[in-house]
Amino acid sequence: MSESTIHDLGYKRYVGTRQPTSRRWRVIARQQISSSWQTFFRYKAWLVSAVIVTVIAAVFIFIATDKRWHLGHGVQQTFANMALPFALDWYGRLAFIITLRIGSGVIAGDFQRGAFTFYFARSTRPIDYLLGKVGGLAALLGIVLVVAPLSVALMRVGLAGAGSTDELVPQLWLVPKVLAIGGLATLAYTTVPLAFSALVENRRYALGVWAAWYLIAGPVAYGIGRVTHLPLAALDIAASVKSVTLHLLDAPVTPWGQSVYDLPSLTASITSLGIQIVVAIAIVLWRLDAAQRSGVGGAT
Amino acid sequence: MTDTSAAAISAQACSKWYGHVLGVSDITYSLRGGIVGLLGPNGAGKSTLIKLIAGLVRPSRGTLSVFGANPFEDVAVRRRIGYAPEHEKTYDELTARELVTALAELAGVPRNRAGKAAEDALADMGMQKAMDRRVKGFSKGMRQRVKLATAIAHRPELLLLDEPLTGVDPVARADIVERIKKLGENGTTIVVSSHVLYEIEALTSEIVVIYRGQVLAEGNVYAIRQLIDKQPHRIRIECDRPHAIGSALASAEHIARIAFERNAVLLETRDPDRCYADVSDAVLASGVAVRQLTSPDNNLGAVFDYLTRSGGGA
Amino acid sequence: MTIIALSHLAKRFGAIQALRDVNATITGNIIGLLGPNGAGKSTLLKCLLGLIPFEGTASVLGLSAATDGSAIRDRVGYMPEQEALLGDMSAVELCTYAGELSGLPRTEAMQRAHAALYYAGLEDKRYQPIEGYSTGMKQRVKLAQALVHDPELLFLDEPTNGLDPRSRDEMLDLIVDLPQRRGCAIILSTHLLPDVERVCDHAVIMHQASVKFVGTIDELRGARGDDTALTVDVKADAAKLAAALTEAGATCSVSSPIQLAVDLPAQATTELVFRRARDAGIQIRGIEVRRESVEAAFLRVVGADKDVAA
Repeated sequence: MSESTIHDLGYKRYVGTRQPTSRRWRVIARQQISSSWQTFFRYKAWLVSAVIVTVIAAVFIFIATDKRWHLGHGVQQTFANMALPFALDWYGRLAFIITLRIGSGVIAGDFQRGAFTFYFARSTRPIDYLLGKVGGLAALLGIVLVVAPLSVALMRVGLAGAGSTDELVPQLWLVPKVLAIGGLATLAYTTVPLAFSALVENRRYALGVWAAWYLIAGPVAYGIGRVTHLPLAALDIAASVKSVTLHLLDAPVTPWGQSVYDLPSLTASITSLGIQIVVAIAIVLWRLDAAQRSGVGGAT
Repeated sequence: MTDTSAAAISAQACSKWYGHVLGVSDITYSLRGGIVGLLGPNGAGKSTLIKLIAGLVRPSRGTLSVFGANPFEDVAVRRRIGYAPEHEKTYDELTARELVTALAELAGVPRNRAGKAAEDALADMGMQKAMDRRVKGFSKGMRQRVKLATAIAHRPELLLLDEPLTGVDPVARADIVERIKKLGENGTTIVVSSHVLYEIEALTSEIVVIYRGQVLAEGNVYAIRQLIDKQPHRIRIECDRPHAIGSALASAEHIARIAFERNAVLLETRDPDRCYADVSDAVLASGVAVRQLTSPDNNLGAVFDYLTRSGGGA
Repeated sequence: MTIIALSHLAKRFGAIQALRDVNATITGNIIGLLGPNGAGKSTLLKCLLGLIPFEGTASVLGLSAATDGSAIRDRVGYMPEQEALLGDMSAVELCTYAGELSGLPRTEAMQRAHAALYYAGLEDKRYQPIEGYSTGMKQRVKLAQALVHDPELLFLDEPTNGLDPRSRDEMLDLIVDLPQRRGCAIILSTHLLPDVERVCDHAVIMHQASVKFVGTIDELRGARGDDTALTVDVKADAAKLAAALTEAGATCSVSSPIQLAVDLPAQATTELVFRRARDAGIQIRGIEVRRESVEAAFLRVVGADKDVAA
């Protein structure tokens, strides 16, 4: 007969190891992704839209393959070749919508609800928070800006592979080009809204300022740049991304008829995007540092 | 001409709903004057009651009048009420003086006298030296003082204070309590709502307890304690031989329960008067060395606990 | 066991000296951190957690705040006064997140999150989003998230803020229990001195950027051993009892018809009070050792200034 006992459900101290701080960012990234996954219109809706765009691109590639797409300025291209620029154009728009829904409110929201007291009273460092948020958002945006266009590119390569090797080889270059475009765009769409989110400590205003930068300040700079021939036009993120896309894909015209010569030059675009990304990261780190110092302790 | 002999506050079968959410239900209560503490669990209806008195909302049913008039409609009687709500957004860029002056004008003080009224009110609340500084840099204690000054600037006869001492440090607390008591002595009727029972105790022994939207108890704390018959009176004797006292009293009929702690015996009795006499006799007869003799529940905290725990019955 | 050791700790923000030559060795189970607004308490906390640079030395749980801030924060739990919860998460998610952010592996964090929430008394609604919680429940979540990572020291900043009397009592009972149940020390920062009187065994009082008192609560308000200073409550005729006791060699002063202060003569005990009362036909209703309340002691240490200067 076994003995009867009452078990001691008392408290046991934690004697295991603690994860090193360098791995904290993964926790934050994971949390960012799971919270963005929650309601339909935060992220899932746009992911679904991206899938739809990809399907349309597949239709262009495999069904409308050799039909002619008239681009204006006397230029025409096959549907198969326009599939990728067309898809990238739409992916860019979806990415912008995603930044409105989740990117631009992230840090501002954390300021508003005192989350930095929560984060920085622990061994989380500002850099961990930054890497976590950028990592999480980049993963989400990357699916739309890198994985989706990559699948279109692979489809295009697949189509070319069905033909001769002469056709295939040039198309193979699509893959690294798409990765480059997607990577650069992902970084830009991730970091710049975060910077506005860190500067403006209110979710709605942060969203407004980011939208104003993208939708108003950008095109205004573009317009001034066109008239004065200064490289200002490259400040327009949308225009810069389009420019990089068209230049790398050797497409002279966007699907909507905008000539590559109307867009800022490749160097200007890459430089502008690069500077905005670096400045954005610097701003976020600066604001996080301030949050770490003032967030904990309150005003007693 | 308002009725000057009317009670300060008089509620008759007053109820207030916000859609389905119950604020207060069927309250009949009247307050002639003095300082009264308004107590109750969160969500019991204290804020609703205060808003009804301040004229910010209208009763869904029944009436609530202040100085004989309806505060929701009668502007003149609202000018005789001062209200310091729990949460308040202030205009941080103004100085204390500017803020109180502006709000005093809004409360009906003529423009040419508003400045002086504000200055006097701020001085009454201990802000003489700081009144020309911007509200932005103020500590919580100073903000509370400014809030109170705003409420008294127009010399109201009825003052409603909702959690006036939250976040105030002990030094400022002692001071503000004194100033509120002085206002009460000068004839202002004051209703103070607070969760921190010892703050109420410092101000007054008259209370109103709101529970589940209704008035559960009103009057003097100690008198209410006497009325709570169901709860026998507790007496705690800290001594070196608690069991000696316990056994001496175990045979007394009025004893309901005896409990022992390491150095004390806790008696529950239905007849405190007889019990005290019996305890004295037992102490002297047994030669027990008594260190302390206390009655743990003759205070506001215990009264409140009994009232709300038993769910609304005395 | 020393929890915190401070030596010539100082911190200046521009023209303002927030901490001025602070020297203290802090020990105890539940330590009250008291002081008027602006005394330097929040600056002290930031220094101890290694969040801002400072002059002098400060060590927490044996670790240096200047170099090991991160390790300190892994061993310290902080329950803030202000809003600091991520409202769209549930209590369980938040506490698990908190545990992981302090370095616990995921499954360990989840288990401890549940244990911490049970301890804090939040069983029913812990899977629902925090934004729907009442004030009392939010305070409990704040306590739980501070406990998840098994800290050795807890900073509690106004833990009873906004709680009604019943919830306040429950929170204070939890706090008193923590050192034995979970083996952690507690620093309780609050303006509510009766709370301190109820739960703390030690106190640190700050005023104007320096520490004015460090020690036990008993030291703060006068020796416990002195049982000869009493407050006596009677049913009636306090003056008559005072006269009888004075005759026996005690020093008395009558404060009301039913209360008097008595200082017993040497060698006498409360038995004298009972005997004289019975002889005079007076009913004793209360005898208490006369001790300064923590509030009175605090005001004495800080030197209350009536008008607001700063």
